[in-house]
Amino acid sequence: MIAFLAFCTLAAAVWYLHFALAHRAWRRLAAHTANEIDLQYLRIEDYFGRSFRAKLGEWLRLPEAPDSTPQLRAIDKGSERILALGSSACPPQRLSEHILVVQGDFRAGSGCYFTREIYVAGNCEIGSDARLQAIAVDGSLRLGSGVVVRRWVDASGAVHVGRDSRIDSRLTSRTSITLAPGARVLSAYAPEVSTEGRTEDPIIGFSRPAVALEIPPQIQPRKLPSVEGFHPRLLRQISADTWVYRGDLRLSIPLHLRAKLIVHGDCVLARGSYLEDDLKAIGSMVVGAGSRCQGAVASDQDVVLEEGVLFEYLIYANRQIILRQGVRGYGERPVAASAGQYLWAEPNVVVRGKLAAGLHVIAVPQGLRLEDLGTGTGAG
Amino acid sequence: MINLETEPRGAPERPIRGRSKKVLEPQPVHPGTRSLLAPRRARGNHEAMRVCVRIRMSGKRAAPAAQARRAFIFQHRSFRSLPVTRQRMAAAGLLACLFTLTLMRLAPKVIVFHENLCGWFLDAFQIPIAGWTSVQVSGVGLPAKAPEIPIPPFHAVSGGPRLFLILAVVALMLLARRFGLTRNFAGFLVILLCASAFVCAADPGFMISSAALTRVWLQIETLTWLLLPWLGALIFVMLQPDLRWGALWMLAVQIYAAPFSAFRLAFILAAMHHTGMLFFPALWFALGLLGTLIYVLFFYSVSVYVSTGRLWGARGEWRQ
Amino acid sequence: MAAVIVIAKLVVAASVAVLLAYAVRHYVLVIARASLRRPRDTMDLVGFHMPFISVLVPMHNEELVAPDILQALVEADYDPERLEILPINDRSTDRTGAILQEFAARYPCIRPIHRHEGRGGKPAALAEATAVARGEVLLLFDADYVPGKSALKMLAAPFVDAQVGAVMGRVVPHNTGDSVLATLLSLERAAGYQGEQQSRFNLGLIAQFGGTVGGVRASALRAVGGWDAASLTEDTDLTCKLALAGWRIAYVNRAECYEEVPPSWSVRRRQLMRWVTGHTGCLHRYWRRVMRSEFLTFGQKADALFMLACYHTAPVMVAGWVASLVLLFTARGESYLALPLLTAFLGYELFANQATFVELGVTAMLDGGRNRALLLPFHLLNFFASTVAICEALLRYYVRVIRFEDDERWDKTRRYRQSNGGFHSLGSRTS
Repeated sequence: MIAFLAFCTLAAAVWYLHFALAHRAWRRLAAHTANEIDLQYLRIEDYFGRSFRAKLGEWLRLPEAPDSTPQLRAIDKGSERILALGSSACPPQRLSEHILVVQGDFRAGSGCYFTREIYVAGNCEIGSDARLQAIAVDGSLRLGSGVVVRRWVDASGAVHVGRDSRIDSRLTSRTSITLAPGARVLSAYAPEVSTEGRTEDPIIGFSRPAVALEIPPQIQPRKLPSVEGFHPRLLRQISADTWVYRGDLRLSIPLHLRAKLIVHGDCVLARGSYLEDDLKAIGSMVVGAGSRCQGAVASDQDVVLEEGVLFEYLIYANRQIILRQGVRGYGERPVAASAGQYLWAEPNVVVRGKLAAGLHVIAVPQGLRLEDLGTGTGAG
Repeated sequence: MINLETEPRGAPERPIRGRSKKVLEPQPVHPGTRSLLAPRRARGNHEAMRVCVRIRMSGKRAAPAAQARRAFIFQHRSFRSLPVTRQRMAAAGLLACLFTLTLMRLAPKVIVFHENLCGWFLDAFQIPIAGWTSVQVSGVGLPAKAPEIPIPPFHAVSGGPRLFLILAVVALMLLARRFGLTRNFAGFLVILLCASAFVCAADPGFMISSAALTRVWLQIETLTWLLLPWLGALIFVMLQPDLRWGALWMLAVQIYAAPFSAFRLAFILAAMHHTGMLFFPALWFALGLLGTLIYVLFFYSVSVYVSTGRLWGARGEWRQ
Repeated sequence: MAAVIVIAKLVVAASVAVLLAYAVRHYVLVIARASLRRPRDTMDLVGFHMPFISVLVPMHNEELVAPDILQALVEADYDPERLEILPINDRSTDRTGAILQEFAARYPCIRPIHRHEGRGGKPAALAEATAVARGEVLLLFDADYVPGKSALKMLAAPFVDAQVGAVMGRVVPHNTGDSVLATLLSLERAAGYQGEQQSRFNLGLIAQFGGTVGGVRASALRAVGGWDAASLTEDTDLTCKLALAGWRIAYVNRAECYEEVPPSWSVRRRQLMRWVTGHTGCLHRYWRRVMRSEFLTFGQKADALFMLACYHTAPVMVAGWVASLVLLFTARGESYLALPLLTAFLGYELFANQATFVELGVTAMLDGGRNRALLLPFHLLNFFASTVAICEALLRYYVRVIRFEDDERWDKTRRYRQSNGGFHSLGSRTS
C-alpha cells in the first residue's frame, strides 16, 4: 500500500506538472505591476512624424558624446547614435546607420542607404534608388525615382514622390503631395494629393441631369418609373431614409439619389449622375463620367470613378478603387478614398484629403490600361 | 554645408554593383538585437562605406541612455495575421502524412516500448503481475501483451479503499469550496465516484479485467497517436508563425504521447489492483479522455508562449 | 436495458455530431482570422466621417464609476458641435443623479435623463433616451467602461457604409490580475473579439452587437422597432432584428474600451446565466425568421443559428457524457470499439475539444499575450464551471417556458472599481 501511495503521489506530481507553468504564469501576472493603458492616444494622420519629432526633442537634450565637434554633434542613446549637423549632402552609394538630424537642407545622392530615421529642418532631396527607414522634413521633400521608404514620411512642405518609388507606411504633408507614375504609398494625406499631369480645368464639368431617375427619401416604389436596368418592384424601404434595391442596378440614364441606397448587386451609374446621399453596392460600383457624389460611396468589392467624377465626401471599397483621369475630390471638409487592397489613380487626379489602401495607393502611368491589371471589377 | 565624405575604414571604396535586391533592400531593423556601436557590414557585393566622420576622441564616454531598445513609436496592439499560406497548409499536410506513416511503420516497436514501460512502472511500485496475455489491438491489427493483474471484486475490497473513496470525496468537496473555479470539475468527479460506488455495490458483475482494459486502452491510444499528427499539423504548423518550430512541437507531442500513456495505464491498473472498480470510472475520465487533452493543451500553451515571444521580438518595423 | 443502451448510443452520436459541427465552425473562424492579411476596417476613414452622435450611458447606482466615464467622454477627440452625451439616471438611490447634474452644469454637451418610474432595466432606459436623442448615430457605453480619446471617432467611422446599422468595438478587461478567473476571462474576451468577431466581420457573417462600446444608426433602430424593454439581452435582440432587416453590423477591433470582468465565480455565474437566458430567448424568437430571411445568405443564416444556439452545446455535451457513462457501466464500453465509430469519437475528442483553446491561443499570439497563453490549461476549469452554469440557466429557462412564466428580472453586475473622481489611471496586464 505504501508503494501505491507513492505511486499516487508521483501521479499527482506529474499531473500538477502539466499545470505548473500555468500556475507560475498566474503568480507572475498577479504580482506584475499593471501597465498604463494609453487612453490618451489620438488617431491622427501625422502621428508618426509628430511622435518622432517629440522624441527627437528629448533625445537631443541628452549629453553629447566626447567625440562631438561644433560642426557635428554626436549623441549616444543606448546602442544608437544620433548625428546632429547643419545643411549637408551625402554622396551617392553611402550607408548610414545613425539617426540623422539635419538642421538645414539635406541632399542625398543616388543609391544611399539610411537604416535609421532622418530629420531635416529645411528642404530635402533624396536621390534615386535610395533606401530610407523614415523621414521627417520641415520643408519640402523630393524623392527621386525608385526610392524605398520602409516606414513613414512626414513633411511640412510639398512632397514629390518620384517615379516607381515606394513608401510602406503613411505619407503626410501639410502642403501637398504629388505622386509620379508608378509611385506607391500606403496612404497619402495632405491638403492636396494629386497625380502628375494635373489640369486646372475639369475635363468634364458637372451639370444637373435634365432626365434622371430620381429616388427621394419617401415615395411609393410603384410610383417610380421603370427604366432600363431598374425595376421598381425590387426597391424596398428599410428605414425612413434608406432604400434597398435587390438586384444589379445598371442604369442607362443618370441617377439622382436623394436618399440612402443599398444595392444588393453590382451598381453601374450612367454619366452625369448626381448622388446627394450615400450609396452602397454589395457588388462592384461604377460611377459614370462627370458625375457628382455628395454622399459616401461604398462597395463590398470595387469602386470605379470614371473620368471627371467629382466626389465631395468619402469613397470606400473593400477591394479596389480606380480613380480615372480628371477625378476630383473636393469637399467642405477633407475627403478620403480608402480601399481594402489597392487604390489606382490615373494622371490628373486631385483629392483634397486622403488616399489610402490596405496594400498600396498606386499612381498609374499614363496610357496604361487598367483592364490589363486584372482589377477584376466585373462591373464595367 | 557639411559634405559627408567618407573616411574609408578597411577595404577601399567600391561602388554598389548591379541592382541586387538583396543588397539594396534594407535589412529589417531590430532595435536592441544587435549592437550599433560597430557599424555592420552589408552583405553581398556591396562593400559598405560607412558615413563615418572623423571626430576627435577625448575624455570619458558619455553616459549611455537609459534603455537600449527604443520603445515603438506607435503602440499597435496586435498583429495582423499569421502566415497561413497555401504553402504552409501543404507543408502541414505533408508533415502530418510523414508522421503518420512513420508511426504506422514503427507501431509494433512503440507498442512493445509501451508494454515494457508499463510493466516497469508496475514493478517499481510493487504491483504483482501474474503474467502477460497476448491481445489483439483490433483497431490497428497489431498484437500486444497485456499484464494480468488481479483485480478484487467489490465485496473483496478491504475497508481501506472504501475509506479512501470517502476521503477522496471529502477532499474534492473541500477543494470545490476553497476554489470556486474548481467547483464543477470537482463536483463531476464526486458524482463519478459516488456513481461507481453505487454500481459496484448494486452490480457485482461490474468488472473489467486488466487484459481487457489494456486492449481497449491500446486501441484508443494507438488511434490517438495516429490522429495526433493531424491535430499537431493544424495547431503547431499551420496556425503558428514558424514552420520549423511547429514541426519540433509536433515531434515533441508525439514522443511524449507513448510514455505518458504507459504511465497513465500503469496507474489505473495499480489503482484497480488496490481498490477494484471503485475508482475506475473517475480515473478513466480524468486520466483517459481528459489525459490526452491535458498534455496536448500543455504543449500547445508552451508553443504559443514561445511563438508569441518570437513573433513580437521580430516586430522591428510596423506599418501603421 | 437494451433500449437504454440504444438510446445512450444515439445520444452519444448526436452529441458528437453537434459538437463536431461547432468545432468545424470554430476552426473555420480561427483559420480565417489567423490568415487575414488585412482585417476589414475603416480605420483610414477615422476622423473623416463624423456624424452627429448621441452617447447613451445608462446608470443605476453608479456613483463609484460615473465621474470617470463622463470625464472620458467630454475629453474625447470628437467635434463638440456634433456630440451630445445622454447619461441616464435610472432610478438610482445613491449620488448618481447629483453627479450627473454637476457634470451637466460644467459641460453643455451633457444632457442627463432622470428616470423615476417605469420599467426597470437597461433596455427601458435606452428606449427613453433614444426618444429624445438627436444623433444620427447612437453610441452606447456601460457606466463602468472608460473609452479612449479616439474611441468615438473609430466607432462612428463604419457608418460611412450605408448598410451598416450597428457597430461594435472591442472590450478589454482591465482588472485581469484580480483573480485567476479575471485573467481567464480576459483571454476569453480577447478570443471573442479579436478572433471571432473580426473573423465573422471579414467573412461577411453577422458580427454581434454587444450593447456596449458600440453604436447603432438611429434610423435603423427606429425602423426595427427600437429597444426590446422585456429582453435581458437587448444587444442580441437588436443584432437579430437589424440583420433580418438587411442591415450589417460592423466590428472595429481598434476601438478599445476597458471594462471590469467579474473577479469572483459567483458574480460571473449570475452574469453568464443572464446571457444564457437572454440569448436563448432570442433563439426562440428569431430562428424561424432567420431561416426564412430574404436578406441573409446561406452562410449568414447558418452562422446566425450557430451563434444563437451556442449555449445549447453545454447540455448537449453533458448529455453525451452521461450517455457515455451509461455505456461504460452497462455495455462496458465495447460499443466504442468499432473502428469507424472509435475514430470519429477520438477525432471529436482531439479536434473538437481543442477548438476553443486553439482560438484562445491564436488570439494570444495576435495580441502578444505571452504569459496569458500559459494559462490555457486553467481554462479547463473555467470550461467545466461555465458548462454547469449554462446548463442550470437553460434548465430554469425551459422550466419557466413550460410554466408560461414571463418574468425576467434584470440582474445588474456588481462593480468593484473605485472612482478616480474624474480621471482614470487604469491598468491592464498586457502580457
